Amino acid sequence: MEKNIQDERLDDYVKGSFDDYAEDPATDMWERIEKQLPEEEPKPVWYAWRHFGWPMVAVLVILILMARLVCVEGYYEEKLQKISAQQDQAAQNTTPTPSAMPSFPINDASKKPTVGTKIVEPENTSAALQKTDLKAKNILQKQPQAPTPPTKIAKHGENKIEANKKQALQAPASPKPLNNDVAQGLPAAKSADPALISAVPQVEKQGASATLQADSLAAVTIKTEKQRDFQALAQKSPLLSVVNLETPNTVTIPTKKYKEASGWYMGLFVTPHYTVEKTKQAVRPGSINPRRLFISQQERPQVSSDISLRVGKKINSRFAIESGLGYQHLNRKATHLARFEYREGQAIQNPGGVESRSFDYDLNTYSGSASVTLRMEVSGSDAPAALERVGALITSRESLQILQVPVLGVARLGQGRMKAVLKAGVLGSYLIKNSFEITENRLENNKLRFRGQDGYAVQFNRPQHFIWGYQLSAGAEFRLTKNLSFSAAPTLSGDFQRKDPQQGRLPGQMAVGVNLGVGWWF
Amino acid sequence: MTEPNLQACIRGERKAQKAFFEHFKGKMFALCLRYANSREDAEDVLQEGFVKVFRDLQQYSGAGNFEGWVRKIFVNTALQQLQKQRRGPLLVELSEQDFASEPEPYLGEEVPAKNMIRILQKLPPGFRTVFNLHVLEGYSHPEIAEILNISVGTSKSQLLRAKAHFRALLEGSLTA
Repeated sequence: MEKNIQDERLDDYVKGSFDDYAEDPATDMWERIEKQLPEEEPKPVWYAWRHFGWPMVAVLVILILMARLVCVEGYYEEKLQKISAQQDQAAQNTTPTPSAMPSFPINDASKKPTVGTKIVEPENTSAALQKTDLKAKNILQKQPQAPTPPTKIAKHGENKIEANKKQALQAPASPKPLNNDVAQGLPAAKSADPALISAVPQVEKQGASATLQADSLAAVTIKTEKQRDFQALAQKSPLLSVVNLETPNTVTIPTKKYKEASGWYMGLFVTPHYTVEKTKQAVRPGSINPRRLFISQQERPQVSSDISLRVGKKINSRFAIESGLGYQHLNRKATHLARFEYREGQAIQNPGGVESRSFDYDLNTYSGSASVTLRMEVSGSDAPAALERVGALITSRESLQILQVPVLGVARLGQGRMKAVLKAGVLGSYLIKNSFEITENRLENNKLRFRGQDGYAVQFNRPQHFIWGYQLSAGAEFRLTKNLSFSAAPTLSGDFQRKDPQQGRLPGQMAVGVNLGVGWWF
Repeated sequence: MTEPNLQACIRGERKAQKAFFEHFKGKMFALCLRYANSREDAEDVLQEGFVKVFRDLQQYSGAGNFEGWVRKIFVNTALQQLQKQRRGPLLVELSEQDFASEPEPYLGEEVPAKNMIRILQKLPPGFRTVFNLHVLEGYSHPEIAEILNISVGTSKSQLLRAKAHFRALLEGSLTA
């Protein structure tokens, strides 16, 4: 009976000790399990939608809006080009040869010529003039709402013709060069050459006079750059006078005085990125032919981000130079797996205490090599045998604050608001703070345990504060306004190969991220 | 900690499987440590156990305690590993008088679970197995007999000896 009670006490005692007890396995346990699991099946579409649906929609909407902006801009550019082309065409029409004269449809008031020809009649062509007056009268009656050009000689068609006739007859005998004042309207009639005036019947033969509208007679605009050609032609032409008439539909585009861009810009950039690192193997310090003792590896890619303020200057339409100042806070977590034999430890003098030994190794940190000392003591009554394996799993965290100075060459390719942007250059990094701590340690040998407070010590060995690296990015830049632009570019950056004082290679990090920026152009 | 999504685990979604692993890893590793000879062995059992759980998850009917079902898989995996490691019989026959005179340890002082695991690992595998199954997992002797393919009497005698051995080790640990 007493024995049973004792048994029950022992059972309860042991059970109580294990109540909800949990212990974490090795940090790479999941990776080991994952390797043995079957490959994950491709996810169905609904899965993608469930997880990424809204972000995808948001991205799509942004893309559509950006495309719309680009298209609208293209549309108006095309319109302006057409208008400009029309104006150029109109300018060319101010110097027609007789055979190139536009033939206007007779008695078709609905088809009003947009670029007309004004003919100033001679005094002795009264029959033709009467005919023209009649036609003009008819047109005016049929089209009372016809648009009127800005400058008019008279309010009514008949009066205008009369006025034009009078002015044409009062014009000096010899033609004088046209100038800008002439180009603005009426004075064209003053420059009519009597020799040309006499040739009006030929115009009538071509039917031109039959379709002239009274209103169009008043709108006289001559392209300044064509004045000399016109003058030369007018001297040779059989016409009385041929001038370009301003179309009633002329589009006037208000423009501001163009301020030339300085080519300087300033940008604020943020780059969220994954930092990956190659696995490195640490060595026992001081060894001439070091045996690999530890496997040091970054536990997993670290998510970090940097922020930078940069200034750039365009060299030409495509290329620019960019530089600035950036800041990055990086936590580098690494796992070191130790493989010692017990005899490799140095005995620690501990009179009266339990047997203790220290094990040293060199650890590669980001800023250089560091000497790590692990101090262990025998946990039970039995000390490990000399050849017994002493394994330690160390998890360390290195906290880095880095100032960065990039010097980049920039190429902007393409036209319009959206441009491809390529950047490449060097990246100087300066470590303003670097701290190292062991966050977790675990011994594989149950006969040993870490000594309480002084279980480990870390000493940096001539840390490197300045590190050279590189940065590459390729993406797109969208110019929202003349001054404001946004950019997004996948970015790759990393460190050039480095060595510690013992010529051992230090871990080189590589970061993959997306550089997001907003720029202001001056 | 959030409950793992079993359906997603059955579908083989890696994220859900990892959440499942994170949820159970601590408790199951403690279990493995109690059965295994060393930490490395315990990690091997844990690894194999999780792979089995993910493989057999769709066989879980939903009846009974899910954690109990998972524990059972890990216990079986640990036992299989012990049998693989030992070429001879799993159970160690020791004379009863070896431990009959062991004094009852003073149980007022609490021993941390970590130390208790060390003590358990010092037990011969056969004793450790029966002790674990009966005292900590709550299996009856007929169940243990069926699991280990031994007689009920052998199970009882092994437990008796295991406890005696355990007491001795515990006493040594407390007095050290």
